[in-house]
Amino acid sequence: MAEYPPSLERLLHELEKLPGIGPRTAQRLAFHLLKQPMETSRALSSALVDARAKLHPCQDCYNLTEETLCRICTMSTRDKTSILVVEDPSDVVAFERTHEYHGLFHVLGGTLSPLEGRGPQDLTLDALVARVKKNSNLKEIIVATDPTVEGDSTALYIQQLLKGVRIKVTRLARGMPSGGDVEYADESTLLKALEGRREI
Amino acid sequence: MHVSSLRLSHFRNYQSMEVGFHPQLNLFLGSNAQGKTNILEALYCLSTTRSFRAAADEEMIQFNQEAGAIEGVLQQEEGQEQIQLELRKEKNKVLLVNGKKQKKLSSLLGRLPAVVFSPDDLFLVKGGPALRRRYLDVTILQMDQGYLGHFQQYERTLKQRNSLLRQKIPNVEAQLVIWDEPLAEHGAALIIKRAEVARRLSEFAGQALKDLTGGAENFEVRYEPQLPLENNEGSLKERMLQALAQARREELARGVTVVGPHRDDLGLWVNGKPLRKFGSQGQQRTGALALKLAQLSLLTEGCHTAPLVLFDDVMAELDEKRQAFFLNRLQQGGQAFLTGTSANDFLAASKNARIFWVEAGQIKMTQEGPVGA
Repeated sequence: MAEYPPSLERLLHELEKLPGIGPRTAQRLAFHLLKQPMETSRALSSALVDARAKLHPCQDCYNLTEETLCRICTMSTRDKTSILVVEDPSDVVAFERTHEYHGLFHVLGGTLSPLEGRGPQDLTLDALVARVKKNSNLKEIIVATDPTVEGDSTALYIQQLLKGVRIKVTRLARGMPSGGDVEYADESTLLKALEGRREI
Repeated sequence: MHVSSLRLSHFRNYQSMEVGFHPQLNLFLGSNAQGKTNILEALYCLSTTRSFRAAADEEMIQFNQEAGAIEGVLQQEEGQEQIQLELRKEKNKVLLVNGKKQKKLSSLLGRLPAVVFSPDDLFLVKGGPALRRRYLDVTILQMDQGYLGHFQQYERTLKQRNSLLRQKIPNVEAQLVIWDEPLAEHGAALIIKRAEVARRLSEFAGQALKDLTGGAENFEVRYEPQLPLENNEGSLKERMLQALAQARREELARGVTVVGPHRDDLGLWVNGKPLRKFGSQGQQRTGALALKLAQLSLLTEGCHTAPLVLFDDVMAELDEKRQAFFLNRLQQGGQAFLTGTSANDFLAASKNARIFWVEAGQIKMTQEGPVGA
């Protein structure tokens, strides 16, 4: 196999570190970029450095923002009586796309996972408890971690943390996806859907 | 359904080979270490996504290669289906069905059920409980899609929990209890299902032993959970949660989860005595055969299609009466693949089989076998 020039080698190496990108995709991306005018690469690298420099967690909810507080936390129209707890900033985006949730968010920064060395101190759990205690208007915490073993366990941990506080803690429903096919759903999905059934 | 052809590339000692199978009986003959078992291993991978030799995926890739592939064509009434399994070094394998990449490897389970008979089966009787749990799990996973979810989530929870216990964090209690819940939930589901399947296996195994020995010996297979069995999942889960609470101190001291179905066993009893301790070598061998026959019967009953039978070098070990019994049994079932060193090991069966000669990673058909079967 022909060796790459050192600078190209370095570029491939950096690209391959990204999630979902293997050697082939890295190669495709690199050669594509190299075919484009210099300006394209400059724009990409400055966008990357700029985003990295300007963005940081919101002081209240830990969503990404360029200000002290994020856009959602500063909006006066948001419903301050509920907080929706998610794993990552990308989950906030997903809920915002629904246009149906008007409350506040809290970004945990992942789930508890001893295997990956992530304990309670590595998530924004203390901050969540502090927020709950400070905000007397709060009525409900909705835990929207992924329906995985880790997501469920983290939800359970949050429920325990908030045991002393008189506030409703709920978990996102799980069951059949819209447009799904009952016939092809696996047993555990069907079971959860059955447990969470509603009167129509 | 049967496997009409198999293609291997960079798999074990096969650089590249393609072979067409007989819908019923296929014999692979050749000296030792020529690659006969590798073919059965490849077929088993198409069935369960892994090796029956407990080998890591990497070991199945040809020496000095980065990747290997197994490709099988399944012939069904409705048409053909092509299954490809790509093995890659230091990466997860990839499954393609009819050229389309599948999100989950587990979608393969149950599509092509298979049972292996191998000289190592003796360890099912003589070896530790892990091998018997594996036998039971592999049986259930091929028949019951619902088991997989509980199985995977139990394993995942167990890993997380053990990792936490090993870290020896002070005041770990609050973090530990959140893993108790899923462990007990999925653990209870595993125990109930395993016990149910073990009861059915016991019936088949008892019958198989009678068939094999023609005798009056009473063979019983019992699921032996560490917790007292309950009839419903809810109360079993409660029991498991209690047991976990009681074992807290021991678990913290030892840094490992000591309660749960990952510690259970499948008891094998002949005339009320444990086969492992009191059986002769011959009895143990017969017991192992009966267990595999029971697995075959159960999968035949519980799957939509007759399982493949992979018979690795066991014919030579059987006396003539048992050989006849097995060959008769094979003819009633689905497609069979047998390995041996010489055609003499297979008595009259070799007449009705397609025969291959395997030598140094090359495979050659030497007899086509009956057509139109």
